[in-house]
Amino acid sequence: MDDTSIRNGPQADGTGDSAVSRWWFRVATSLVLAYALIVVAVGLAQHHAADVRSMGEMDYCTTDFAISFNIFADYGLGLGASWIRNQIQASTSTVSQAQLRQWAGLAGLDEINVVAEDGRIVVSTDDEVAAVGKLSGASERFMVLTNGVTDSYSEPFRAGAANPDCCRKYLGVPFKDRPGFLQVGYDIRHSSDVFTAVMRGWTYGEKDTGFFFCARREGDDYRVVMDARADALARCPFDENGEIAPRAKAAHAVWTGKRLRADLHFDLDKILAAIPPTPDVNAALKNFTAKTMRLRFGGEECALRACHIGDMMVGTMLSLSANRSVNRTTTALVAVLLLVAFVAFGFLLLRMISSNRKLSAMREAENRRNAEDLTMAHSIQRTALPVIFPPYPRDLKMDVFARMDPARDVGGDFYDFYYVGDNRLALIVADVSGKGVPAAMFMMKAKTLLKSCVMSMSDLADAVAETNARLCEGNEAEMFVTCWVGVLDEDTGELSYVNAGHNAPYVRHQDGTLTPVDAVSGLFLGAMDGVVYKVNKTKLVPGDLLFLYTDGVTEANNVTHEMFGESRLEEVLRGECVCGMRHFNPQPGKLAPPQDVCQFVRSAVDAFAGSASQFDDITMLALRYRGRPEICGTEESATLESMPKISAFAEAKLEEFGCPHDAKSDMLVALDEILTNVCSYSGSPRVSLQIELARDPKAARFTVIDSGSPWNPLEHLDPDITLSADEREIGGLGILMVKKLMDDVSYRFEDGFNKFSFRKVFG
Amino acid sequence: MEIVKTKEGSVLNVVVKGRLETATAPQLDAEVKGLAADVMDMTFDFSELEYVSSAGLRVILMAQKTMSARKGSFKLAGVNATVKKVLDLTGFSPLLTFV
Repeated sequence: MDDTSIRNGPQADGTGDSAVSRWWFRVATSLVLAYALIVVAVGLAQHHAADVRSMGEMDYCTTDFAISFNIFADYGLGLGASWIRNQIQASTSTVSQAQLRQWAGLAGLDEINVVAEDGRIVVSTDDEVAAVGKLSGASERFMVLTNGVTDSYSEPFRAGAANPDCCRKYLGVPFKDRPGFLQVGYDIRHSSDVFTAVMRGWTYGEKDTGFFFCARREGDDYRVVMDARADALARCPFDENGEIAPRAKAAHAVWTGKRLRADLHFDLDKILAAIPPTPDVNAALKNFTAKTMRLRFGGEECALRACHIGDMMVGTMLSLSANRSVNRTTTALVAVLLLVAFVAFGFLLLRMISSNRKLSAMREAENRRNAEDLTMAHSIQRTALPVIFPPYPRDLKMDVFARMDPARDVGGDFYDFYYVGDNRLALIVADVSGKGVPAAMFMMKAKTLLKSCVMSMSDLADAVAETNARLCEGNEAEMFVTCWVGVLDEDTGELSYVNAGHNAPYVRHQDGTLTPVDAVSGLFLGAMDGVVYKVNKTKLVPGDLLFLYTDGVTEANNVTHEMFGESRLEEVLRGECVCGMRHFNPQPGKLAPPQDVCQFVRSAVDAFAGSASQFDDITMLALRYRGRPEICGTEESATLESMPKISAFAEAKLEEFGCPHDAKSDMLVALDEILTNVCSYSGSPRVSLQIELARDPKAARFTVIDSGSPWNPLEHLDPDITLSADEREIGGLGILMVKKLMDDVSYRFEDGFNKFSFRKVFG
Repeated sequence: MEIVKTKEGSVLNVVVKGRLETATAPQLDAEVKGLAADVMDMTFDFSELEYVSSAGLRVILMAQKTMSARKGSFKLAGVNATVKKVLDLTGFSPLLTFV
């Protein structure tokens, strides 16, 4: 027996180990299946989910606004009523109408009634009310104030019975030293400051995809209250605070840009932000029900949610199509969270299953599939990182490349880059503690959160702090992530960055010298909530290369457990000899593409490590900053006679720039074709040429701009160039030539102008 | 653009210098339209031509059609690489005779 148990001991341990590893394989399988399912489901449900979420939020926000407004109005009226009650209680004589009117003026109230306990009006600021002499209709409900318990009562804004134009809200408070109560009234037309205060900082729609509006009921219609005075926006008081007005202006711009004919104005006398009464919206408002509704507005799919405050209708309007794209990151986050839940469930399930010995045979079969599964997990993770290079082939200002080589099949490193504005590119490299599946799951979460925060928050430090806070939530595995997040302004080269405990990147200048970007901003993410991060800044000049990496590069070991280290990395980047090889040796006057730089570093690490195996993920991101291309232009009348002038201008610029003769001829031929089209057929009185000249690689882009009717030459079919001479027509050949001679052609109709661009690379 | 014509009997040699583009093509076009009736063999000498745009191709095509209508011959001489590229990519080369 003893012998058997001794023999069985290690065997049992071995089984335990393999059971553990099988669990992990199971988890990996779950990960793959769950993610695949979720990706498909999310893909299908994305638009729907984004819309439902948007509309749910609109419901909430609109109701929230109405409630907030009523609470605010109640609060203001309560303060006014208390003050007047104190005045009345303190006065020794009977209060006169004149005295009451004076207090009403001071408190900004429209009506004050002193009511006896039997509902009789003792004194009122309003002659008509005084003439009636008694509370009536809805006001009878105020009698609740005589029960000795209720200390205030209010009614919502309501149109007056006598005067429907006057929409008033009443609040009452009982006297403390005598029977009866005090009733104060306030007209909505005065509530601009209340609206202002409630609306401060309150607009709807991420990235200005929607806006707040108000309309006033007039008869059966909702007529938008609108005062088209040009200074309406300028007089808006929260303009200076940088809150509502700029966003409102932005919404204005976005919406008119999409030709929604939506317009937004503030008129403080009448209170409101408004959309013009187009038939679409008016009809929608008329048929308005309690739910958020969809409508088509100027060809765009929109959602509308509104509610009444007195005779006003306030609400939110959101462009669903514009919002969908904004919501995509959030949906992705939901997908990741679902994935985590799914995997946790799967893990639990598998624990139960694994106790069943009958399944051991199946597990063995699965062991064989393990490698395959992890490879799949790897590829899924890879697809979560941007892998198409160059990602922005038309961008002359920069070129970016990144690679992540995981140590185990699924890594904890990641990189990311995306535009956060027209000319601002966010760059991220991060390293999650640990490796394998848990690290990968945490990585997905961190990457998604970071993107959603960086995209939605204007301040980089806030975005990182928010990511940190959200990563700290429920981080029971105590995982953390170091990251470097930068935002590059492509026009100026200004680089704002937050370094949360990550390796300092380098800037390699054109002369081969290096500058570490080494300011630290704060603790790594996920460790402690409430960390404050600092944004640091540096500036890239054209020709600079920004190199981001993770410690897998510098901590790569060789067989004698020596580390690659920062000094070797610096040598490689400077272009010095490392491990007997010169890895980074671009031709004189040429700058190595970012992809090559990453490859140089990787091969230097490989040469150093020799036969030692890679134990950590190796991630690199390199960005070559080329800077804003030189731009110049000319404008002439759009006639065949002025073409030689434009052509001569272009030729001079190309020669000055050192454009080779053949490329120059091709550019001039293409220009001749496009100008001929514009001058002969566009009907535009003027034509202008914009020239962008970029270095590294040397390239020129011509953009021909005219104000003629929209015409996209690229939409037309190419002529048949196989016909015999007699069958040939000459039409369309010019465009065909441009397409074939240039590396890149594009057409857009923008702001009333045809803009035809073509570009040729010759460096 | 400059055009130099040399006529010997029914053989016409037209040297085209500079650029054959929208602004200049009408000049050559006029030459083709006003071609003497006895010309049976025409050559465009492009050895001093920098480049040609589609307006120039139109004239070349017309010259080819004119000469084939009168059962004569039409040739291009001294075509440089830039011009040849344009003729190739527009499918003109197979229709023409190069010398």
